[in-house]
Amino acid sequence: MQQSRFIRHMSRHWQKHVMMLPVLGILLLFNYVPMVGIAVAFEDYLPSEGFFGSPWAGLEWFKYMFTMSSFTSVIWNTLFISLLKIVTLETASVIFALMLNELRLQRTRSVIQGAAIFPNFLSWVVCAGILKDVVAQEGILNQLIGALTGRNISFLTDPGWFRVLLVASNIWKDAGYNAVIIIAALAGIDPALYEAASIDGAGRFQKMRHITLPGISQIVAMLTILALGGVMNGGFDQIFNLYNATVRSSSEIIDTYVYRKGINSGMYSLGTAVGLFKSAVGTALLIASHKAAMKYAGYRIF
Amino acid sequence: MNVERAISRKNSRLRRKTAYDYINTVLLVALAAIGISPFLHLIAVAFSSGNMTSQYLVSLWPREFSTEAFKEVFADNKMLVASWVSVKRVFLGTVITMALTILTAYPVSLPDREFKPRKFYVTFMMITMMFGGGLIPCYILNSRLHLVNSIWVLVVPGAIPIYNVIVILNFFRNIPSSIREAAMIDGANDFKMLLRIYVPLSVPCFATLITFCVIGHWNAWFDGMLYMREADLYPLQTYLQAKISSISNIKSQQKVEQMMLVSDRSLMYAYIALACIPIMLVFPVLSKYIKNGLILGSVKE
Repeated sequence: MQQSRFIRHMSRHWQKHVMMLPVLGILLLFNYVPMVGIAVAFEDYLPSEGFFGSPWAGLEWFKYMFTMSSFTSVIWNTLFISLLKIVTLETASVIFALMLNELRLQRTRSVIQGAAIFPNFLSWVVCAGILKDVVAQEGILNQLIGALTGRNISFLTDPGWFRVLLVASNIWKDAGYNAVIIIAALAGIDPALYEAASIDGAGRFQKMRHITLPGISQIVAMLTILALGGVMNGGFDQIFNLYNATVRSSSEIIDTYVYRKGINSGMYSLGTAVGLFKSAVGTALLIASHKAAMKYAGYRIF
Repeated sequence: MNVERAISRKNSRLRRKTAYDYINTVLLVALAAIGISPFLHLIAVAFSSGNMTSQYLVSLWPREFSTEAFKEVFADNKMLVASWVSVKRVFLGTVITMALTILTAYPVSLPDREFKPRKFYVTFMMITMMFGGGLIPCYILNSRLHLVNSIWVLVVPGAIPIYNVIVILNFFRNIPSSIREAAMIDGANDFKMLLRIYVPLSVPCFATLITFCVIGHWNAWFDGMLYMREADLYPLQTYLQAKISSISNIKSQQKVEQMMLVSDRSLMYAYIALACIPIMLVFPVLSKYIKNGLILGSVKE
C-alpha cells in the first residue's frame, strides 16, 4: 500500500523531483557538508592529517577564544560598526528618498537617481581603491579640508576617523540604492490620499509627515529589521579593502579576524570556532529578525 | 467668494512650493555631485601626466593630458589574462546560475496541494539561508575537493542563490493558474510547462536577475583570492585587489623617481577605470529596470 502510493506520486511528479536534484546536490555538498565540518572547531585540525585524522581538542579553542582580549574587542567592533552603519544608512536613505520624491523635474530626478545608485554596483575593491587615494593625507579631500580649516585628517591611520570613513563610505555606496527601494514603496501610496489632504488644506510638509512617512514606515522597518539580522557581519569587503594594521584596533571585525587567523595564519580550528560563534549568534538574530519582520512589517519569504 | 479664497490659497501654496523646490533641487544636485566626484577624480587622475598626479595637483579635470597610464595597463599581459578569466567566469556563472535557479524555482512555486514535497524542499533551502558552516570549513572542503586553482570553484558552490529562487518563484506565482490548467489539459508535462509557458512569461524578471548576476560575478574578488594560488588564474577584481595593495606598498620607492611619465596613482586609477567599464556598459539597462520599480523580492503584495 505504502509502496504503491510512492509509485503513484512518482509517476505524476518525478519531473519536479528531477528539477530539484541540482539544488539538492549543490546545497548538500557546499552548504550542509561544511556544517558538519564545524567539528574542526573541536579538534586540533592539521591539514596533513585531514578532518578524520586530526586529534580531538574538545572545547579548548572556545576557552582560548574567550580568554583572548583581542576577541572581546573584535566582537565589540563588529556590533558597534554594524549598528552605527545600520542607523546612519537607514536615516540617510529615508531623508534622501523623501527629498528625491519631492523633486518634480523628471529629467533631473532620473540623473540624480542614476548618480546615487551607481556606486552600489561597483565592488568594494574598486571603491576602496578610489577612496583610499581620495582620503589620503595628500589626497583631494584633505586638500579641501586643509584649505577650509588648515588641518589634515588622517582618515586611514586614526582609529576614530577610520570609523567615520567606514560610516560615510557605506552611505555613499548604499544609500542611493536603498532610497530607490523606498521610493518604489512610495509608488504604492494611493494618490487620492494626497488629493484629500490638499483639499483639507495640508501643506507639503504636513503631507510628507502624515501620508508619505507612514506609507514608507513599513518598508523602512522591514529593511532595518532584516539588516539587524546581519549585525554580526559588519561588512567584510569594505573593511578588508580599506583597513590597515594601524587602525585594526578600532575596525577588526569577526570576519576579517577569522580570515587573518584562520586562513593567513593557518589556525584553522580557532578560525572555525570563532566562525561557529558568529554563525550561532547570527542565526539566532536572523531568525528573530525574520520573525519580527513577519510580525511587524508583513514580510514573508517563500 | 469661497472659490476666490481657494484660488488665492492655492497660489500662495504654489509660491511656497517653488521656494522649497529650489532648495531641494539645489541640495540634491549638490549631493549627487559629491557622490560622483570621486569618479570624476578617478578619470581626471588616470588621464593626467605622472608629474602632475604624483604631486597631487589634479582634482576633477585632467592636467597635462596623457594616456601613458592606460598604455602601461594595456601592456600588462596579466591584466588581459585576468580580464579573460573574469569574462569566462561571468559567462559560466550566469548561465549556470540562471538555468539552475529557474529549474529550482518551478516546483517550489506550485501550491502545496499540487506538490506536497514542496515543504521539504523549502525547508531544505531555508536552513542554508539561516545557517552556514562558515569560512574555514568551506575552505577546507573546497581544497579537499581539489577545486583549488579551478574556475569551477568560483561558479559552482554559489550556483543557486536561494534569494534569486525566491524572486523567480514569486514571479511564477503571479502567472494566472488558468494558463497552467489550459496547458495541463493540452497534455504539457512539467518540463514543457516550464519551458513553453513559465519561462517566456518571465523574461523581464530574468533580465533583471541576469544583470545582477553578471555584476555579482564581475565584482567578486574574495573567492579568487582564497582559491587561486597563481596570479594568472586570478579574476580581474582579485588581480586588481592584489595590484592596489602592492601599489600602495611601493609608494615610498616611487618618491625617488617622481618625474616619471606615469605615477603609481595614475596607473592605479587607470586599472580601476578599466575594471569599471563593464559596469558602466550595463548600468543604463540596470537603472532602467530599477527605476521601473522592479526591485525584486523586497516588496511583496
